[in-house]
Amino acid sequence: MTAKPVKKKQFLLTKEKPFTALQIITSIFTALAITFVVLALVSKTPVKDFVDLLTYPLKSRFNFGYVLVKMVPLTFAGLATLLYFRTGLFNLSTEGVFYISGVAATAIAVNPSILTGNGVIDPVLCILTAAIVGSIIALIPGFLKAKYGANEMVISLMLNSILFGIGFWIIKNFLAKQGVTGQSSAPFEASAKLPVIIPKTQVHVGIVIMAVMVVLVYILLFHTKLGYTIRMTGLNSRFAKYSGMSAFSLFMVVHLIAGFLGGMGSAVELLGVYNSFTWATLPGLGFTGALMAMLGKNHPLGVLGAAFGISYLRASAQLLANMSPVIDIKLISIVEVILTLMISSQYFLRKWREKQLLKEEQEHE
Amino acid sequence: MSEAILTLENITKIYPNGTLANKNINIEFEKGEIHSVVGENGAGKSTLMKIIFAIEKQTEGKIIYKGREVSFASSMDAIENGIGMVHQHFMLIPSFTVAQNITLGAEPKKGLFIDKKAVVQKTGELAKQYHFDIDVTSKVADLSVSAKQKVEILKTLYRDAEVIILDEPTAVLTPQETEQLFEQLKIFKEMGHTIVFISHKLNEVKSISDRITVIRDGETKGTFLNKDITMDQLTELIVGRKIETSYESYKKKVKDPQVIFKLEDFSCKAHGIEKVKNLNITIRSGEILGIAGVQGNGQEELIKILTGLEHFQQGRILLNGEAIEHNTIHQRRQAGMSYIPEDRMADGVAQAASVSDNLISTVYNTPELSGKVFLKNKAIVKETGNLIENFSIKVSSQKEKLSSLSGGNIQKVVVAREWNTKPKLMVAEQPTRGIDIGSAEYIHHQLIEMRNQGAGILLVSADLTEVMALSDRLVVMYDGEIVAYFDSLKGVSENQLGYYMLGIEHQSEEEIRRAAQ
Amino acid sequence: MNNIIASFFSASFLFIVIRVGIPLLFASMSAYVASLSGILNIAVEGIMIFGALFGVYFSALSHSAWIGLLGVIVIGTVCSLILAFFTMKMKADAAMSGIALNLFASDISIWLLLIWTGSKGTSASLPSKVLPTINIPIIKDIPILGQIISGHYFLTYVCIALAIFVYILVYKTPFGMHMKACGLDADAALSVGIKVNKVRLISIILSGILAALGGAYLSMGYMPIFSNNMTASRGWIGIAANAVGQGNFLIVILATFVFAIAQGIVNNLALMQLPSELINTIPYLCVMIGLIILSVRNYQKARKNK
Repeated sequence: MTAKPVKKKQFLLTKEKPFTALQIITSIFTALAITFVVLALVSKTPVKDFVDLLTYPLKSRFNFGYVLVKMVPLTFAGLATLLYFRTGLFNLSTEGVFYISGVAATAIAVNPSILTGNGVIDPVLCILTAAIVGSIIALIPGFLKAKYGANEMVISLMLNSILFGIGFWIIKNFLAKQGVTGQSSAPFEASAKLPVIIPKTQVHVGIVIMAVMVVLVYILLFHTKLGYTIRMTGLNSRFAKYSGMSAFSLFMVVHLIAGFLGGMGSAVELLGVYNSFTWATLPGLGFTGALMAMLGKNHPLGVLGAAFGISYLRASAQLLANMSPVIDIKLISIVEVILTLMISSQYFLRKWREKQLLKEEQEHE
Repeated sequence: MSEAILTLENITKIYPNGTLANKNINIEFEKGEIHSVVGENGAGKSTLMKIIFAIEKQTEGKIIYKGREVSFASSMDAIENGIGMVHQHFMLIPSFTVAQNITLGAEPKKGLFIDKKAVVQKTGELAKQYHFDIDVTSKVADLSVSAKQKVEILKTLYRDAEVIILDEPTAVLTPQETEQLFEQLKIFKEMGHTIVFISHKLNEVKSISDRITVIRDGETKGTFLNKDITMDQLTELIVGRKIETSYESYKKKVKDPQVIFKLEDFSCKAHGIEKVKNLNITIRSGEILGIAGVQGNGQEELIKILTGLEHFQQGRILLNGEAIEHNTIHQRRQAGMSYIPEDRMADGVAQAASVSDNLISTVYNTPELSGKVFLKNKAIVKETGNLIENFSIKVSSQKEKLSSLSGGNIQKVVVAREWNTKPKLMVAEQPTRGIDIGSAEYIHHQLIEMRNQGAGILLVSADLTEVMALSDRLVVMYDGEIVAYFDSLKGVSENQLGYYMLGIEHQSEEEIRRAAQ
Repeated sequence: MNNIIASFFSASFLFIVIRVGIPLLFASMSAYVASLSGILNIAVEGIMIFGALFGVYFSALSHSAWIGLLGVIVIGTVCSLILAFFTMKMKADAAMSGIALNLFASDISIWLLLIWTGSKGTSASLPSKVLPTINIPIIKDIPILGQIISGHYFLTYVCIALAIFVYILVYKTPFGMHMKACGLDADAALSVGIKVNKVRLISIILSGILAALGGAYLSMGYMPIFSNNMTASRGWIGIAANAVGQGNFLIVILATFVFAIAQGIVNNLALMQLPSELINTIPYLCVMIGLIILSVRNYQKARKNK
């Protein structure tokens, strides 16, 4: 009882891919509409605010560059989380990994005795250190999951809080500017910073690294043996086991790679945007990474698209925050929650699709 | 005849994924009859029953019960109106007791609370009244399969069911247990209950029904009085052609058969209970060794351990003379073992993956299909194309999602993949359960073909007809032990096997030991 | 040093354990009733945030702590209805929905704070009310015992009453039986006519209200204001406690209070000259170790049974 071939050549929204597109577009419109309604409730100039929110990033080169800068950490977090999700793991440790790897990168970046002063070698050194620390940290929940089947979600969340405590303690006690008791580290050495690549914007070389990682993760997933085992294990772990694949080594490798990506993203963000380590709370990227992976349908290019879309609105809101009493980056969470709820709904628009399918079936007779 | 109690009018059901399961179904069930609904697996019988029972909602059509149109909001509605159902997969909660399971959803109450005494007392009386020999305080997890079925029937009786739907009730029973069930059903009929009997076993349908409705490809092919229709006519209505019952003529002798596989003093435990005791079996190239037995007599545990899905415990497993009991699944497959799993949806496939991905899971890391790191995508396309063609798997493209295939085609994907590793030993566990007869027959031929080419095949099946039609040699398992061994199936009857399957009879040690020769 | 050790055995320490344990107990009961009927509610943290925020907001608007409390119950119900609509009706991914709601709660609460007060930090400028502290007559005069169990916030006693209610509901009533059946095998429950969706809907509403009350406890008693990130992963600790309990309510409560004792110790240690960042990780470390011990034990049990 498979679907019979359709007689007429026509664009059918009931087919899988167009239907997914329809779902996404409908969700985006709904999310924006509700945002407008919320603005209308609190703002004296809701239409202006809403239009500003949608168009402000296009108003100047700097603004658009800001969108690109914002999407870098989201994409990295999304890519790391996507690997977990593809493997069937619900791990949110990217949050803590980002924090502690950032501390590791800072430890190098503020230390002239380790750095060479070379503007290429130094960032690479920092990024690699952060990535390796990220890998090692990610192996903690990875090993517990692989060996004992421990609940990786709750463990990774607890780990995040622990890593934050340890990281913050290190920053305050070992990496702070001498003689200053503050919540931030000493300034990074100039040679460790990532260079800006588009003049009159903040866009730094990290966006290139990000693009390379998107391509690498794509190749990893769809063109390598490891990627194949990742996908099969995620879709049905019993099937993967039955086929002879080893879950233990796969889980370890996936955590290693995801931790590496997370650590890398953290260092790239720090060295590209900040002059010193100033995160006094967890950056929230574990959860946001999960949203990016979900909204991007667990596809590297999808994650890129989701990160761009969300960054576009976040950047816009952040830039507008000084000019409008009601717009703030936190407002964008309305869009995020509605998109997530609607896009992850299997039954969303289902009734409509069922009716259409029934009609098509009857037209055949 | 008497009046209709339940009428289905133009029932159509389309699942959200676009599968058309029922199309314009019309059936009339009369009061006090045993009415069989027959059809191949996947013909749409189960969906239809789910619609009656309000587990699924029909896309179109009417249900008329006791003269008025009904639209049960839930199963509760159906139950309260006197419709009971014994599901194919038992709907029991293992950690609850028999009494708790029977009363679940309709517990005797004392004020706001459950009356725990009355739960035990009422269910005990009910079991006595219908001569069910069962301890209502025991945990369902500890019961045998046929006892679990009794609990299911008691559940419907406890709720005063007038119409009792039984979905493939005999699939898990021995011939003797089936007989016992039929006696019971006849009593229910005399008491005025209407029995709806869903089955694909024609001899059973013929022996018990008053009337028979045939369903094919989701459509009704007519309702007939049992006495007005012959077995052959029914078969033709169901499949549109005759089916094979013996494959002897296709079997070829293999030259110089070698011992491929040996189990020596194999035992295992689960939850502290001995599941398999001291098994000794030998399989040679070019033969099919069948294992018959009622489900739950140690077959699953045996297969899980010998294929490496569960940890090994005791004895030896030899493949081609080498001990493999401590090997990983990957190593076992490398050594020449293939496995068609019982639960194909859970173990045998990844439903959301493409057909192509499903076809290469056991060979993706061979030099033909991959290098050190990368997959050779071109070679994979060619390989899967060949498999799809050779096994005539009906797909629109290699990239099609596996879940959009029919059950028969999904099983062909499994068999094609397992065949593709050129196994020395093929472990086939319930290879045709739940698929259409056409595909089943095709798979049987493929197994025979593998046998003819020199593979040894271990066939485990609860379907007696299947094991008897395919096996060269046969063992019967009961309570974790081999209780009978036949080195040829000539002159062996289903009934005879039934006695061994029930543990009523037991061959001598001597006779059983021949299985290891 | 001796003073510190002695302080762990004092009545005031037990008083503190109850004080810090109650919001955790609200959270773990919230996770428990949802998971028992087969729903993954990981929005506990987010609903707690909303409970805390709206308790403050409604009490400030109405000048009444009681109307504020009513508002909290309404908010808890609304949140759980949203969650139920998407996960049960629309078959959305439960984990993703929960995470989205948590993120939403944590972000939008800050935005709402900004809109209402112009500050992103606390609700200090809102004239919100707190719920009263209850001194139990007679008991309060009993030495030691009175010091431990009397003089808590109103919601403390509500929490204890709700714990008793949940226990009776789960273990003594048909509804509790149905909850368990829905959680163990929804198809089996459905087949005997249990309205699985209804049972789950009621469970999740109860779960939402419990979480929201946990939030209100924090902002309408424990503290007199709402502040950014005030739930501090308590919702997640509740989820962890529920995981440790594996369906047994008494073990869930026990686990909750083990974590509460860890938190109480932290509060005591914080008075000394120890690095607070590290000390604050102790409760999370306890939860993590608890979960690790549990999974190692389950792993060994599973191996032994084979």
